[in-house]
Amino acid sequence: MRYLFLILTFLSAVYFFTVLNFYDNGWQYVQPFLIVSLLVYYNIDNQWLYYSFAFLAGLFVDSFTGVFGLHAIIFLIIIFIIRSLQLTILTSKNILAIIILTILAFLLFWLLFYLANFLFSWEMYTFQQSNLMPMFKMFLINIATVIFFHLLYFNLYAKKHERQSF
Amino acid sequence: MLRQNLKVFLLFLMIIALLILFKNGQIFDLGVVFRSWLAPQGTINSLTNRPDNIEEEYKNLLAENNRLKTLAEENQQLKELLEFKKEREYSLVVANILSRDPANRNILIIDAGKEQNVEVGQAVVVNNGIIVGKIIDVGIDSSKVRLLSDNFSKLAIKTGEEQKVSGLLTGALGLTMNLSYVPQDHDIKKNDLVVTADLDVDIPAGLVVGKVEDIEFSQEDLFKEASISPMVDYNTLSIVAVIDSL
Repeated sequence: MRYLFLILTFLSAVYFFTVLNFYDNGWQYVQPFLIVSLLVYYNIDNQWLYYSFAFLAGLFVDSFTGVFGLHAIIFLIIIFIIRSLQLTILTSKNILAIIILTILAFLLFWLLFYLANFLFSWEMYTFQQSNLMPMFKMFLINIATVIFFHLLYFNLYAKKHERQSF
Repeated sequence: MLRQNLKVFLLFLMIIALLILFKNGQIFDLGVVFRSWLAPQGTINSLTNRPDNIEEEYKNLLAENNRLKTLAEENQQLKELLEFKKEREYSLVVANILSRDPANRNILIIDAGKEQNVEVGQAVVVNNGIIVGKIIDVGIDSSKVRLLSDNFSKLAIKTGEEQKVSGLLTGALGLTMNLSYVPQDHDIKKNDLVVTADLDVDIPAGLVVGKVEDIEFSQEDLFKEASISPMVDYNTLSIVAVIDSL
């Protein structure tokens, strides 16, 4: 069941990624794969699963971009950092921790891409002033989506079937 | 747990690094391995590598093609000369043009001379009996031919509708020929065929010279004049035949 859920999640991310990339008015900055990678991370304890999921998600996005492996590396770094934070500072999986970690994840996402652009001139996303507002809007939408789906999943499924602090 | 997390993270990073290296062909090219599995290396090489001697082959074929073209042209000329010989029952000496006189481009040097019974004054023809010049000098195995377009060339001709109009053909600056001494009362028209007259003992009558181009005359002059265009390009001659006996 868990694996079926993972596959469906991945496929829905593929669908949204493909659809949203048709739009050019900021919707391309929605990151369905990072959203689902975070959701998978929050709701699955097996580290092999969520790392593999982030890895595959990153590779899928990379197959459409010019720098092969960059998304995969960044997704893994994000998962690694938030996992490390959960093991040290934010040890609880309550909603506040989820919000902080999600915000941090997307901040890291843009920061790492900005660094890649700044250091190696890998221009995956154009960091111009005109793009900053759509990026920020979609940044909020991304965070809201993660929190919404996490709450949805938690309330409809995990609360009844799994023991989890909330 | 932290260490375990770090280990898993590093493991996936290594996998990505390997994938990137594989993809860029820096460790080994997966594409090459895959292709060579599908098709033997010999087949791939024969399809992807250009043959080593292609340029040499091309040059050889080009040379052969040119040689064959020349041979075909030569063959055609010889056939026409043979037909001409059969038709008129002349005795012909076929000769190659060796060179042109460096001082006068309208003097040809051919590889037939006294040994082939060539004599001064004989007619030199091409194709189906088109006269192009006369022998002016004979060596043992070579001769000099003065083309009709040479300034010093003179030839008695006939033209007009029924080839009854006589005149004198002279060369004009090595480029064309002029027809002169055509009486005013004799009618000649543009494109009238010009043929040799029967005044010269060495030159048979009726050999084609060219066609009438422009006719000039005025009431004050005694004779008409015309320019004659040759039937063949004198610059591209390669094989000629000398009519050595009528």
